[in-house]
Amino acid sequence: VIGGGLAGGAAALELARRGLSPVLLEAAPGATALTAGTLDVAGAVPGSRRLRWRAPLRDAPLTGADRIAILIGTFASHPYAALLGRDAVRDDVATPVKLVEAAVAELDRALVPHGLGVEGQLDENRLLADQHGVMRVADFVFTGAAAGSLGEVPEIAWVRIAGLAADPPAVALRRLAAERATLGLPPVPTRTVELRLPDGLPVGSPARLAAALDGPDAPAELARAAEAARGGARAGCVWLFPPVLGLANLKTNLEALRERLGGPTAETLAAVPDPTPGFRLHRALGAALDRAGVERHRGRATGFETREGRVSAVGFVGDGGAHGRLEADAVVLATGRFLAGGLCERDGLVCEPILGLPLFDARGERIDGRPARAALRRRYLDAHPLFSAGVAIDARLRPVSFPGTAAVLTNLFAAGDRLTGFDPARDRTGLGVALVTGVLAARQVAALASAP
Amino acid sequence: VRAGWLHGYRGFFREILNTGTLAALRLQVRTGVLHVLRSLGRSGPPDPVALFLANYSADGVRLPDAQERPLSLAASRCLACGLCSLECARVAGSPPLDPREAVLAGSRLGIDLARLGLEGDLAGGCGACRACEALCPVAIPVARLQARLAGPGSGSGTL
Repeated sequence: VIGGGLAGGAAALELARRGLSPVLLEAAPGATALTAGTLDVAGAVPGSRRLRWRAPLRDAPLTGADRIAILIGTFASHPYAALLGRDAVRDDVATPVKLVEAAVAELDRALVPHGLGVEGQLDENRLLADQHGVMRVADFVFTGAAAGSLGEVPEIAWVRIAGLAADPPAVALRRLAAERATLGLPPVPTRTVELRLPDGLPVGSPARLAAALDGPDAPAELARAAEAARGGARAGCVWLFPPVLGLANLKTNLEALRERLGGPTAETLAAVPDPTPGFRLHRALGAALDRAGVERHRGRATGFETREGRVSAVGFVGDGGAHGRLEADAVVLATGRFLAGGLCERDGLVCEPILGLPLFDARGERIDGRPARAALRRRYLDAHPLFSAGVAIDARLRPVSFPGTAAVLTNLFAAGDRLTGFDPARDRTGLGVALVTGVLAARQVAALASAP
Repeated sequence: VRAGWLHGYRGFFREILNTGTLAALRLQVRTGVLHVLRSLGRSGPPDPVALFLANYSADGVRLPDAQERPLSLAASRCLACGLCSLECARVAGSPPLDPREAVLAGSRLGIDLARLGLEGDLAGGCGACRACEALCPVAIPVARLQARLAGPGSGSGTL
């Protein structure tokens, strides 16, 4: 498995679970390290054909299967379409839903021993706020932001930690009120609370503060500080903290706070470049991989050895520039897009660095061999073709040179951001696609292994 | 509206009065007066790189050479998330320099580190354990970058 993010991790975990012996080659966690705290499987907006996720919520929100169907209908080459089949979703909604829920449940089971869980359901519409007060709809959420759903709540308490850089609470709450109005939610009373943590904690840096709050005294200290800040909040008031409440001990800290505050206690979602939720996920995933006995190597894949239309070995450059070689019966390519280096710009042109595979955008137009600038639109919020660049796959997740042609290599499978047809910034499916395609790629490998 | 151009220069003159040092005055005259005069006398669209160097090479800024270019480009991927600094502090106690600072310094064109006061810190700052590299979301070769910034090969201390 090539790739250090969630797609690669999920594939390796699934392979280990099936009794195979996966070897993981990691260069960088990429977008996984920058998650806001959600695992968006089908975060498309309920009731919105154009996926404008800030459109007003309808009376009867769409189910997860409906939202997957909307995604497939909007983006013809979406990975979900290749996997689940365009007609399959319409005829048999139970299959994709079951598949997604099983994949999430397995991830939850793997991460929970390391302090991170996944909560939610595909049919759910959790309304979460990020640290600037911007709202988003999410189905599955990691421990931390999970309890912070802001649908029908009696009151919202916005917690500011003294010394930690953040938007002024009044600004964030004003934005939150505007976002709620856009979503068609009723106004709600809010309060601002300042939390004073004991001296000596590194409140200057979010990531360091989160690491420091893993200490054994942290739950008691947090509870004491919260007690002082509690005031006369209404019953059921939702308490929103900055996303810094610990790394491995997040759950303990949240419970200590909930006990003292008496209402749902959650972190807000993070906004780039705040790295804490992604760092948590990367840590827990690494620990889960070690626990599952996955052999891990650090390095960047440089090329494949092939024999008779199959990959037989992967060459890589490890730490310090040493070259290595790993033999493989099958390969899962989960190298991500530009963040992790799975796609890059060489001599000013976009390319896929390992095999030089053709890259397509969500509309099926070629992206590789052109300057990156040519695949960007003028305005920031436009649908940039570059952001959905990836390789085309067949129904078994094998990369193909052109849509509809035969697989390039019969034992090479692609997963995650490496796939074309989706733009996580627009269709809200980032880590969901990584997880689902990672698990499915592993299943294809297992099927190959069990074939005579 | 009539005194618009004068209004724009008010801050410039205030800066001269506030800073008061000769070096600052020189820089301000160069950017605020000579730069403007030169741009008035020029015809046709300028070559931005040549223009930049003409104005700032006197400050020790230069283009990275072919070998340094990939390293500088890698550094320019930095998202400033700070995970490298977090891991560095965890592994090495309290390092004298945040790796993030080195990455950000390395992502600029060619900057005289002595002018930024970073030279001494960089030399002893990194133990080359590469703990930071394992965490970097965008796979910046932080240790190599830091070694390059601090190393004897860096000549006058520029990347």
